[in-house]
Amino acid sequence: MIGLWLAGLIRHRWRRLAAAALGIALAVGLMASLGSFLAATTATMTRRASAGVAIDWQVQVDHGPAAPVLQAITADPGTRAAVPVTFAATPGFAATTQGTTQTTGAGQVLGLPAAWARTFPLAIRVLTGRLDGALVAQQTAANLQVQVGDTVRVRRAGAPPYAVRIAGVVDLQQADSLFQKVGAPPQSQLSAPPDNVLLLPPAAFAHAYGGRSGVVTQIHVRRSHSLPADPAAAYVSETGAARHLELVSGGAAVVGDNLGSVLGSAREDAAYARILFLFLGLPGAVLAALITAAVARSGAARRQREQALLRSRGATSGTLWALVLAETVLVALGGAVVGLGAAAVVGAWMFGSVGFGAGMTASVVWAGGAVVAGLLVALVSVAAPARHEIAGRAVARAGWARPRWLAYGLDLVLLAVAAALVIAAGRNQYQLVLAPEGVPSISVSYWAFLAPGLAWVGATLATWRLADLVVGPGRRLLGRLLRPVSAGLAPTAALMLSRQRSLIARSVVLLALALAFAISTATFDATYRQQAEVDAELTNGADVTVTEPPGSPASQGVVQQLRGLPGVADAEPLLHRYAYVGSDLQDLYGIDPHSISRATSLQDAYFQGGTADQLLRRLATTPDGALVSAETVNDYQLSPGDTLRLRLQDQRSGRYLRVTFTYVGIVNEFPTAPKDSFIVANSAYVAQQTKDPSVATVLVRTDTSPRQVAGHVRAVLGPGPTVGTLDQARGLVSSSLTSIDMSGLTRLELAYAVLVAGAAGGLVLALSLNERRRTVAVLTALGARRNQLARIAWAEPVVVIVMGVLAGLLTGWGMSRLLVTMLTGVFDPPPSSLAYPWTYLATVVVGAVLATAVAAHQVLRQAGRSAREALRESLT
Amino acid sequence: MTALVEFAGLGRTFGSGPQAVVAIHDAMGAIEQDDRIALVGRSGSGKSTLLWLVAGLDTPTHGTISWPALGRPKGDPFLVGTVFQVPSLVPTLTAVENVALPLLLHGVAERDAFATADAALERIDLAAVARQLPDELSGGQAQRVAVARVLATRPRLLLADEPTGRIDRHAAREVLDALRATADEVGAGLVVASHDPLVYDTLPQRWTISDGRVAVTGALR
Repeated sequence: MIGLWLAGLIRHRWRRLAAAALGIALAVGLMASLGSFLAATTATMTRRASAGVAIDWQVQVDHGPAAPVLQAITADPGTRAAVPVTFAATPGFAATTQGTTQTTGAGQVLGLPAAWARTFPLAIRVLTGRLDGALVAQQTAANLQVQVGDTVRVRRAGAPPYAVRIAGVVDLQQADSLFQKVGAPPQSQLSAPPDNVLLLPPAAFAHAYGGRSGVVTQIHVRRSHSLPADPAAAYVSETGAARHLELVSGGAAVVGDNLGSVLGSAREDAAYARILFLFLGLPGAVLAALITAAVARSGAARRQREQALLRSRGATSGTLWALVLAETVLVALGGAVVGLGAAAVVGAWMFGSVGFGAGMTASVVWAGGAVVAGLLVALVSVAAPARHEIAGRAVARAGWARPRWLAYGLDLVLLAVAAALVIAAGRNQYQLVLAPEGVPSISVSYWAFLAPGLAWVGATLATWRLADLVVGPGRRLLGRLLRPVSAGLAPTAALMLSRQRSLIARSVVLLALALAFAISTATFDATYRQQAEVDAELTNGADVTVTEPPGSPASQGVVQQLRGLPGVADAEPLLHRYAYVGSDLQDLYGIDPHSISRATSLQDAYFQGGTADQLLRRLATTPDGALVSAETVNDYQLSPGDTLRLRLQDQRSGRYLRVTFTYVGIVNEFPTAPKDSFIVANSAYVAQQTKDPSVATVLVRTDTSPRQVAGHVRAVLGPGPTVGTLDQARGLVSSSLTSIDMSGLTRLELAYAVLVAGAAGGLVLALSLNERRRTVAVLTALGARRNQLARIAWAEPVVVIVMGVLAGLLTGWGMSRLLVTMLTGVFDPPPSSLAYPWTYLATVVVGAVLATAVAAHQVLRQAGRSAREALRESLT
Repeated sequence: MTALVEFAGLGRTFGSGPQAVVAIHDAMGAIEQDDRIALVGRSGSGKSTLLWLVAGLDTPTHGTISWPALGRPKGDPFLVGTVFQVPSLVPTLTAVENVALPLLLHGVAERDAFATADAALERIDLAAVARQLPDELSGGQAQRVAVARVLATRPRLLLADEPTGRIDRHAAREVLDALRATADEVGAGLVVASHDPLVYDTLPQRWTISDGRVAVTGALR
């Protein structure tokens, strides 16, 4: 019986079954594809996070000899290499060059074996000279005005200075973690690494500090990066290994777990990726379910007739249920198979994997979960409405029933609660994920999901209310508005629409939701990409950045030379000096505030107390103006207009000169600047005061591929300067979620949104209009001419399109703002404005409108056949 | 008296080749203003096809048909009013709106159309259900509303296709009475296609149709 019934359905109702299965397939496909994205993303996060760590472990030997600790480290199966390193503090360094003597404040001296630089290549970069010998850090070299071959004297407490000849100047790329206080909590860590650092070969270090107290031994370890793909699992595994070492060393070793630390951040990013899935994916899946429900509902009358017929032939409720469930399972399985197949193809194409999870188990769970979700959607949308029919009750007339919530104002309540939740989350800086260091579990503020969830539901209901209001009580106004479409029949058309207000509201809501989903997803994705670019540009400085080696700064002529290169849109010089603010040595950047924006993008979020334009204008109008970090403002209790007396190095004499600046505003971030405190001032003033216009860095904006331009720059300037490109920076920005390539997810979601918008606009209206065949047939039989038929029949698509598009644009805009606000934690730096992908949005809206119009035209064309056929068909 | 409709050698074939179905074969006849005809035949015998041809809503494949007193009535409800087997009401319009619909479609002012529709419903005792939707009416009431819609346009020829097919005996009698009264009132010819004995017992003339061939078998007036 069931087989016969299903065979009949497949033969005669295949279009409607296929449409319902398509809805399920959309929901299943989206969820499974997002599973692929999550799998690919989290694995990428683990890989990229661990690849960016210079030194995985810094194991400090707290007491006793280092040898047993080294032995325990080497015995650990995860250890790939271990190198002992010694640290000693110095009261300062001194150097005499060109007849003058420069001294520094306190610093650090390290004893590094030759293997250290080879084992940890990310930790050190040679700027000039070679690695085999005493090396001086870049900033120290600037302070002491030393170059390769010069002698530096290391002051020692209670002993004469120890002199070494400098073999190279280096950049310690992850100095923050290298000079961490191992084992100390984050709040006790140094706010900045030491300004003065000297690196000695082990023999020289032993000579300088052998037998002296205060020498700290660390063993630097490179770990195996064959970690679990999931950052949370990798974090647990890695931190577990670190604690195990501390245990087996009997307390002699304390592990500074840099690898665990970045994996901790990565698991936070992974949690955000899951949040993205929920924020961006779930509404899409729910929308697909709603479309399926609409498709299923449009077949309710047919099912009711068939069930009445079966009942009259003696079918029991049990038999009817079995048939309904069989139809449900058929639709669910069909949809699930198509959805999973599509997701596998999409996964292979976009994420390089047909699996839906990080491993086999996760794949099975994701695929199974997606299928179960598909079955649930089918049960809710196909089987549940049948219960009235089976119970023998009349099906509520969809076109007439008015939902009760309209009277209670549920939509307004939900929107108000959502707004309150957003405000509450704002008080916590929208911190949705908390990953405390050292704690294996992370906490995700899932209650924050309520805000967008309620906003979606509230906006949906509000759209319903609006459509109901316009089509119902606003019928007379609608009649007037429809005059351009329905001419003299507009009042009749409005009257007919008013009797189907719930059906019209449903179509409007589905179209609006589909468009809102597309708009919010696309806008979020575009903003995300925009911020990823901003992050990369902030790191690199510009499309191409040319950094001169220390000691050989470029002249302004180089800037002119670069401006003349092919592909260069503009080039802007950036002066770089060191300045003492009190006892704190800070980087000082000299810029031309009139023209700096031509070469790099300055976001409003980089500044405080005004937009980027406003603060640059303020700087431009104050020749001795200076923008300083918020930390400096707090530390020194500065107010705008205050005088800053800084000590800047005179390049010629090497001496520090007292230079007066006027504090004009706060800068938090600036291209190429470090994360900690720095100062931005007018380059002309800096050059004049230091009697040195030399340029440290040139920021280059390109109008072609940065890589190509970088090639031209290298060809012109030779091997001396370091040329960095935006492409390289994209690869380096590994700590934030914005570094994850979202292009796959973007393409997936945007393609999905187009499909859903088309389905919502076309499929639902087609099915809905199909139900209106009888009306068209009656009108034809009453002698209505084709143009009269069109005037009445086009009223519905036009109302649905206009209201759906308007509500969709409004909801999409609101949800975009809400998503970007709630997901502030995903962005680094936070966006100052949303990025709207206008072309895509126009494509989606036009696509949905066209799909709706084509569906309406097709239905009307069929209905416009001979009156006899139409009427006969409509009555069967 | 000028005939409302005349046809000779009238044929209608659906499809072509071996699949062709001959619905009407070489039919000949004429309908005048005072004709009250029961068109009798089994299901599928061609009754509906003949009615659609007579109404001008379908085109014959053979023979000729003309409407000497009507001009070319194609779908014009002011010339030919049709009542279908199932109440052919627009489900989203109330009874009175359904009755007014053909008037509105033909450019009658809204106020006049509704006044005429109200009067038509009152004329056949349906004023009480004027503001109800088709779903809220019984089968007989809905069919009578369809008759009222015909009454409102006062056509010259009234055609009904199995108007009692899906309603009970009592309602069927009410519908037939309404049809006759309407035809008498507006002075229209009446043809009712049916295999219901009640119809051919009620109407004075009978045309029998079998395998697409039409024969006058009943008493002539």
